[in-house]
Amino acid sequence: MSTPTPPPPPSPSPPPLQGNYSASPALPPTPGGKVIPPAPAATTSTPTPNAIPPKPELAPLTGFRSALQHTGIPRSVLLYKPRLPSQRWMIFWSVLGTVSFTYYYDRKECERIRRETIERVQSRGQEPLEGGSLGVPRRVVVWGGKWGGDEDEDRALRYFRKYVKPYLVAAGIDYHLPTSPLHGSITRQIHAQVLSTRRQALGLESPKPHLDLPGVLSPEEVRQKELEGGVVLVGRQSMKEFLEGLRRGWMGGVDSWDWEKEVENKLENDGVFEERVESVNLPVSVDSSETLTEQHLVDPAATTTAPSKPIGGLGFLSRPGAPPSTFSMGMGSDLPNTPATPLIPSHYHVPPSPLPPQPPILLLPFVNHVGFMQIPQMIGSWFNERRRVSAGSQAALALIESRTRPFDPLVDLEFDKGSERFYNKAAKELPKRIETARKDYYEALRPRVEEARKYELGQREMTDEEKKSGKVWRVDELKEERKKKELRWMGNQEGWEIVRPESEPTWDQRWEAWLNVFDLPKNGEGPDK
Amino acid sequence: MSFLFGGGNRSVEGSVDPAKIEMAMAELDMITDVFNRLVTSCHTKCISSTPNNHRYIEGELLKGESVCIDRCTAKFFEVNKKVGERMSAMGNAAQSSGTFGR
Repeated sequence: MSTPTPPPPPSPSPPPLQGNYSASPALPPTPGGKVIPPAPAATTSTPTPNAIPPKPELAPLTGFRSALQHTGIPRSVLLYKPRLPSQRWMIFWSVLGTVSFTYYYDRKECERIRRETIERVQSRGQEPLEGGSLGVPRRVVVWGGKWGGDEDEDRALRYFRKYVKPYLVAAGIDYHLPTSPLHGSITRQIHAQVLSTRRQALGLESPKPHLDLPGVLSPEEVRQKELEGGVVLVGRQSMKEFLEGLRRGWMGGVDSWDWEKEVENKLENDGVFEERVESVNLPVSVDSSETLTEQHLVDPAATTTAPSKPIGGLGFLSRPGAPPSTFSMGMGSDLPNTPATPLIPSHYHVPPSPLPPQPPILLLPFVNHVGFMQIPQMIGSWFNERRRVSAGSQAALALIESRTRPFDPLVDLEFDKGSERFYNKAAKELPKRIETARKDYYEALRPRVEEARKYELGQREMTDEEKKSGKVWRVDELKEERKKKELRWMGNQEGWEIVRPESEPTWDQRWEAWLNVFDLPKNGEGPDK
Repeated sequence: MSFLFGGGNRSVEGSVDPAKIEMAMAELDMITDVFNRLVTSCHTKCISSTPNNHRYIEGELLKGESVCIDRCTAKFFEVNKKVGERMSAMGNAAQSSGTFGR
């Protein structure tokens, strides 16, 4: 403690001398019960000088104390007066008491809100299911995007499970929680779903085989159930990703698209695994290490032969809507579409109008405090659990009771904007970190590729280490490993471009009066306020 | 699988291979056992969790119960699968090393 300690409090005054029972009865009780101060002259006037000076006379007890005087209760008990403890003890107890009470009150409120909300919705869970045991209950889809700067991708969904799920369980509503391990995973999943719906509607893709069994819904019924269900978006990052996914799905073309294949195509011919020309084999390996350090990430093939493009520019591929360079034209868009393009008439690519109805959206506010600098907020939120419980219960009520209103771009695009200032430094430096990781990886990869190739060509034996572990890396395995890494990097880069605080949520003028959101009660309404 | 049990040369018309019958019985026992366990755990969880929790108050399945049973069944099979995988991995390891899990 650095605060200056106050001067020690004056030691409490000694209690009045007590316990002289023998002396008190001898004293003549003064009329009116006045306290007789011990006369100082009395000691000096004693005739015997050696006698012990008599103890000062005690004040006679009054009131009920005098009645209890001879019952054997010690005088100290009769005269007990409670006193406040010392200043330091006071500080200690009041701090301890405040903190514990704040915590206790908070959790009690949480308990109350939970109980009241569950009581309110419970009757819905106890209605008989339409369609008997083969009926399908209402089902919502919950999207919780990764929070920037947090390696734990399950945070948003855990928030949902803690603060909203209990009410859905009570109300008998099923929920589906797709995982989204990377930034932009929601965008890509929504994109793929919408695209497949569109392609099936246009007859470009065969629909899923429909089983004609009891309990299996027809596609129309499935669609109807989806619309009755709803979509929960946990946090602003999920909303941004979701809207971008809708844009790519509904507003883009209907060429078949698969993200992994797209990445594979980008990687296929970038020359990292290209065979070198034998004659320049040795000098190249020396040169290229220098070029790498200079230009960060240069395709090793750039120094040799072949269609060469710097890998360092891969960032542009991940930016949505970025004008494709020659490289991505060659690799990314043209090649995969070549078989499909001639078959699709151009008017198929036009977005459908009007857009088919979408399930209503629940916007659930969510902030994730990560990092050392946000410890005060974490402590604060620990004592204010009831705010989140209350927000969760209100969101759940809006969802369960299906109160909807049209999506208002002026209000809803600003949803939970304050949460974005809590992205920490690690989140904001993600592109830079990915670049560094990529550079380091490719630097380390080149010798590994060469070793693997030499081994495969029979130009070298297993090294001691490889003999010990019994494992030799093959070129194909390296390719696979690199693809996995690039999927993560490219996915995260692309997603972060959508999610980062500077970029606005996607919106299209044609979306007016298309989307619906669940209407959260204003402050001051509802049972929890 | 007949080559495994020597069924190939013994397969006379009309006769049944007792080894196969035994296998089928074991399989059936296993499936019945899994099913019984599934029913017990999900019934305990979803239908009769507390006696005053509207147990069998309606003739029809309730919404809450339906959701609960759906999820309970899915979870049961998922756990079953994971445990099975782990057990078979341990079994393989035990076969190759000769000890079980150490």
